[in-house]
Amino acid sequence: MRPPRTISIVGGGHAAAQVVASLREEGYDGRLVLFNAEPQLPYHRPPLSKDFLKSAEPQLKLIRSQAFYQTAGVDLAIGRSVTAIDAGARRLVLAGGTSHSFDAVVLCTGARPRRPALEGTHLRGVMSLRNAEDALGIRSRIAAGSSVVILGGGFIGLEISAVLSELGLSVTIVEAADRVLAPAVAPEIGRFLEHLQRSWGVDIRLNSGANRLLGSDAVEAVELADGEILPAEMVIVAAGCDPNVDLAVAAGLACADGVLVDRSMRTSRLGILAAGDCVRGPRAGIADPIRLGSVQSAMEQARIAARTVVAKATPDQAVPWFWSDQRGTKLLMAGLAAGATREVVRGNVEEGRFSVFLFKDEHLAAIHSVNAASDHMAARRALAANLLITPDQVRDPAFDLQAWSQGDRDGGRSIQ
Amino acid sequence: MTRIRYVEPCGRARDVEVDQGLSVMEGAILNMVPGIEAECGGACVCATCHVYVDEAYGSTLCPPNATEHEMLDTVASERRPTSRLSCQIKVVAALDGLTVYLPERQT
Ligand SMILES: Cc1cc2nc3c(=O)[nH]c(=O)nc-3n(C[C@H](O)[C@H](O)[C@H](O)COP(=O)(O)OP(=O)(O)OC[C@H]3O[C@@H](n4cnc5c(N)ncnc54)[C@H](O)[C@@H]3O)c2cc1C
Ligand code: FES
Repeated sequence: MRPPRTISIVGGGHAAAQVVASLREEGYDGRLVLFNAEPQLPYHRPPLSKDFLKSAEPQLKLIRSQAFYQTAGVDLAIGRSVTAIDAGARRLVLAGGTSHSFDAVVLCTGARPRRPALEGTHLRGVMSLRNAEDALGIRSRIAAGSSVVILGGGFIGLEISAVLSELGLSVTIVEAADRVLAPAVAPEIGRFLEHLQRSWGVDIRLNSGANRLLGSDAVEAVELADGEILPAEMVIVAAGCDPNVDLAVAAGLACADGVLVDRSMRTSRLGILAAGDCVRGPRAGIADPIRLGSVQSAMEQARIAARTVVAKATPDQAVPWFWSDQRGTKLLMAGLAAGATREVVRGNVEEGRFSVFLFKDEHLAAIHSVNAASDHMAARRALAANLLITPDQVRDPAFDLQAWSQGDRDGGRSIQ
Repeated sequence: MTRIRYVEPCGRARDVEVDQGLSVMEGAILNMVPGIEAECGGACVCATCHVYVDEAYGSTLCPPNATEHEMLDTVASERRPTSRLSCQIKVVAALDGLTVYLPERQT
């Protein structure tokens, strides 16, 4: 295949920034154009629900500097939204009607907050959080003593709640499931974080849901399914996100709640690849393709997409991992917990320093840790190497996880 | 502005003026010093911003906190007594002239 002369990247998040960096690292020397709907250079999204909301002078953390794109020879089309892909003619159509031809395109369009079908979501003060503009909007509504209702007890909901309660707002989380962070995180950890949040004064309503949002111009309250009215100056919808697939669907690419890709990040159309939160792809050992929403997977998929474009072999997938931070309590997760059949706790739950090892039958499938970075890193190495561990070993404080992860099957126990 | 020197494994050195308040990691990323990945953007959860600091500055630097200590156990290259996560080193005037050595690999 003739190497592409112009590669276009649609999107401006972690995946897009990494695609251009990796393409240059892989030796691609043709034209690179990055189209980003947002008015900034790609920046780190995770701080938006953490430090950015509370720091006195909030600053976006750029993933790469302006100088990087210059030196790498990337044409930046910042603040330019791509409205259509003409896959046959290999052209991108931009807002305003101009078009750009490409030899290959990588879709890195990310995801957007899910908006539930709920009366009143158009009211002023109803927010969600995905980008810098959203975060600035939430910041501008922060006032000590005011009430905020967060719809959804997922990662973003809990992180926002941790910050806003610290800033003196009165926070209520409304969650449909019987625990927070379901089903993503081990129940033990969900319960731990629920107690932690409650100890900060956060009101958590489980098995609950919003009926509608009340207000005339600005939101004033949330009506719950059981009729209770929660007054609120701000409502934050944090009910998960949906992949941005509109472009791909309109261009005729195969999509199923995500742009479908193979393990090399190729979509169903030749010359069109995709990476990051917008894709759904295969995973070794898992029957159906899955969608991951994390910085680590966005970066990994971007590196793979870049290698595919320059016709290099696709490496094996790394162990997926994710982190979350709530007022300094660090949650770290590695592996894929879906379908786990057994959970084993290691460490001290009362002291807030423990890990939950999730087994699928005999095999370790995932580990979720609270303030236990070394457990996390050891298990990540071990998951990558498919090392065996038994529930008894997990529970045994004398079993040395570090030694085990470095290949000592008995975790330092055999020498005793 | 504080001058930080980044030395690549091949020995090539780069002097960079870094704004005070930024981290040594940010100084590298914003100035295109290769060899620091910083996947997590400074949250102290990825250990891909590992550096070896010049011993002469040992006493000027705040020592690593517990989390950084734990993460340092997991760096991809050898951990040495001078190992630090560069995202956890805030650039202050006293660090003017600091040299950090980049490890062979971060992942
Ligand atoms: C508040 C928040 C906190 C998070 N915290 C963590 C965390 O702690 N740990 C973690 O691992 N992950 C976290 N994540 C998830 C992580 O940020 C995402 O997985 C990651 O950003 C995905 O990168 P991406 O490039 O695929 O998509 P995105 O970062 O969503 O970027 C997509 C970009 O494409 C642009 N775009 C979309 N359509 C078009 C178009 N048609 N034309 C031009 N541009 C377009 C968008 O404007 C956007 O800039 C968090 C996310 C959020 C929102
Ligand atoms: S940047 Fe991730 S630990 Fe330093």
